[in-house]
Amino acid sequence: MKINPLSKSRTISVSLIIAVTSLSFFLNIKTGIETATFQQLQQNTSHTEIRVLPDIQNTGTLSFLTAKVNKFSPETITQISQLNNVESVYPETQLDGFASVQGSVFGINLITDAMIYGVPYEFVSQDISTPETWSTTEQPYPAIIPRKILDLYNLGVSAPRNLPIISEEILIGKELTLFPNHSTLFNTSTDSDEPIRLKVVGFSDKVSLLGITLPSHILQKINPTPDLPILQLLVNVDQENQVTAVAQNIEDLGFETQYLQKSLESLESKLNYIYWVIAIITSVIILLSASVITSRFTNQALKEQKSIAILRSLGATKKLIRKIILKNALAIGTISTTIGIIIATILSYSLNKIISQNLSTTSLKVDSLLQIDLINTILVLLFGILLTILSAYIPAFKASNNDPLQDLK
Amino acid sequence: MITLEKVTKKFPKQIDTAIKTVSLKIPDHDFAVLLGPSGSGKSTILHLLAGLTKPTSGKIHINNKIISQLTDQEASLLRNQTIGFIFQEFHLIPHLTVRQNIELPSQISHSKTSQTHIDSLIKEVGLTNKQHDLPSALSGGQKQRVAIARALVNNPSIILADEPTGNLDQATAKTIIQLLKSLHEKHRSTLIIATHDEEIAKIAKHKIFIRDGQITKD
Repeated sequence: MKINPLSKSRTISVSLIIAVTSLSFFLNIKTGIETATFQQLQQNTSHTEIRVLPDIQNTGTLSFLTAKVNKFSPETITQISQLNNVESVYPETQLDGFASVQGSVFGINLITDAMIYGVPYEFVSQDISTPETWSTTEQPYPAIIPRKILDLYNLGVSAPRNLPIISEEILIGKELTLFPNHSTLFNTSTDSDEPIRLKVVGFSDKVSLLGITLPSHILQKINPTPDLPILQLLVNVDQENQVTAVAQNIEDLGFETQYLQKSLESLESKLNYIYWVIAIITSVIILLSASVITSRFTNQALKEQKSIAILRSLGATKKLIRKIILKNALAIGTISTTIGIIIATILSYSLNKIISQNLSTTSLKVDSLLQIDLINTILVLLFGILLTILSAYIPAFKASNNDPLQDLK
Repeated sequence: MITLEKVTKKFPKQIDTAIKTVSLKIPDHDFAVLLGPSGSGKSTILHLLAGLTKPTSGKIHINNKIISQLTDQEASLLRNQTIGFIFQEFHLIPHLTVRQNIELPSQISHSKTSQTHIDSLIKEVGLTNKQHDLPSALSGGQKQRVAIARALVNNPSIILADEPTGNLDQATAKTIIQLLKSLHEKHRSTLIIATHDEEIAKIAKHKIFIRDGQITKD
C-alpha cells in the first residue's frame, strides 16, 4: 500500500542507529573482554596450582620489599605438604639484600636495581622445556624474566619513544651481569661482591614481577646467609576439583591463596563493575533515543494528522491507521537497526585491528577484543525493532483516535 | 433510501445546537441539494450521513442500517464502500500522485479494483495527462476532479459533496457541477450536495432548504 503518512523520519532513524550502535558495541565489547581475559587466564594458568602468599593483612603490604617478614618456614611447607590432595610444594625464595643487573640491548648498556628470586625447576617447568638448563652449576647461570615486564617495557617505553621493540627471541641467550650487594639507588652499598654472569633462558608469567628469577640452588649459593626468605609457595594439587578445598585449608592456616578459580571469580567481579558502567551509559543513550523516537513519532503524527484524517474520511478504520503507522515504524526500525549493527560491526572490526596491531609486540594474545556474536546481533536487531514499535505505539494510538473532522478543518 | 429521524446534533463547548430535530427522506438515485447560508448546518448533515460524527439524538438510516449505532469498523466500511465524500478543500494527500490519490479508497478496503476502472475514471474526469502529477501541480478545478474520481472509485451508492465549488471560480464551478451531474446520471448514485450557491440548486431535482440547523423547506 502506498499510504505512508509517516514517511520522513530522519531523526528517528539517526536516534535508533545511535541506540543500536551503542548497544551492539557494548555487547561486542562485553563478549570480547570476557573471552579475551578468561581465555588468557585459563590458558596461562595451571588448573591444579595454588600460589600461597603471606597474609598481607597480617604482615603489611610492603613486607615483600623488606623480605624480613618470613611468614613461611620449613615447618609451614611440611604442614601444607601434609594436607589432603597436596601433591607437591615448591618455595619461591628471595635474595637477602640488594642487587643490580646490567645488560646490553641494541648496543645500549642498562643497569638497574632488581629483586633476585629463586625457584626449583618444577616452579617454572611450563616455561623451560629442558630441566638440565635449570640444573647447571656453572656460570652463566640460567635466569628467567617475568613476561609482563617485557610487555610493560614494550608498551610503556618502546612504543611511545619509538625505541626498538624487544622480543623474547632477542633476549633469549642474552648474557646479563648480576652485582650482588650493590644498588644503583642507595649509596650504602656501592661495593659489589664478585659479579655473576647470567643467561636469559626463558620468560614466565608465574615468577615475581619485580626482578629476575634464578634456580633455587644458585640463589642459595650466592645468598650471604644460609637462610633464604621464602616469598611464596607453589602448591600442586592432585585433582582439579580439589583445588578450592585445598586452598581453603591453606587459608585456614593463615595464608593467602591465589588459584585459577579464585582469579576468574575476582576477574568476573572486576569486569562486572566495568560492564555496569558501560551498561549505564548505554541505557542512558537508549532511553534518550527512545524518548527522541517517541517525540518524533508524536510530532510526525501531528504533522500528518490531516493525511490521517483524509484516510479516516475515506474509510480507513482506527485499526488500519495504527497498522499503517506501526508498519512504517517497523520499516524504519528494521532499516535503522540494520545500519546500526553494520556501523557497530565496522567499528568493532576496525578497533580490533588497531588493538591487535598494538598488542602484537606483547605476549597478550587477543584476537578480537570486540567480538561480533550472532545471537547478540539477532537480539540487538529484535531490540531495535521492538524499541521503534513501542515508541511508535502511543503516537499511533493517539493519531488513530483523533477526530477526523477536527483534523480536516 | 436515506432517512433522518428527529436528528439533533450539539457539539461540545458550543452554545447553539448545530442540527435541531431534523427529519428527512432522500430516495435512492436522487440528486438532492442542501441549500443554506454558511453555518446553517448543511455540512454537519453530510458529516452525520458519512458517519464522521454521531448525532446527539435521533436516528439516521442508510440502506436500512442505523448508522449512528455502527461500530468504528462498520462506519468505516460504510464510508469506504457505500459513500463517496467530496470536500470543499479537496483534501488530497500531497505526496501521492493523482492516480495514487484516486486509488486510495480501494487500497484501504484491499478491493481488487481493476486498472481499467481507474483509467476510465481518470478519463471521465479528464485527467489522463495529469495522472502521474502530484496535487501541487494541479489547478483547483483539477484537484476537485481528482477528489470526484476518488469518491467514485469504489462505486458507492451515495455521493456526498460539501461545497464542492466553494474554492473554485465560476466557470470551473460550472464544469465541476456538470461533471458531478453527468457522473450521477451515469453511475446512478444518490448525489447530495451541500451548497449556498442557488445556481447549483437550480439543476437539482430535490432541494432542501436549511437555516439555523432546521429544515425550512423540502
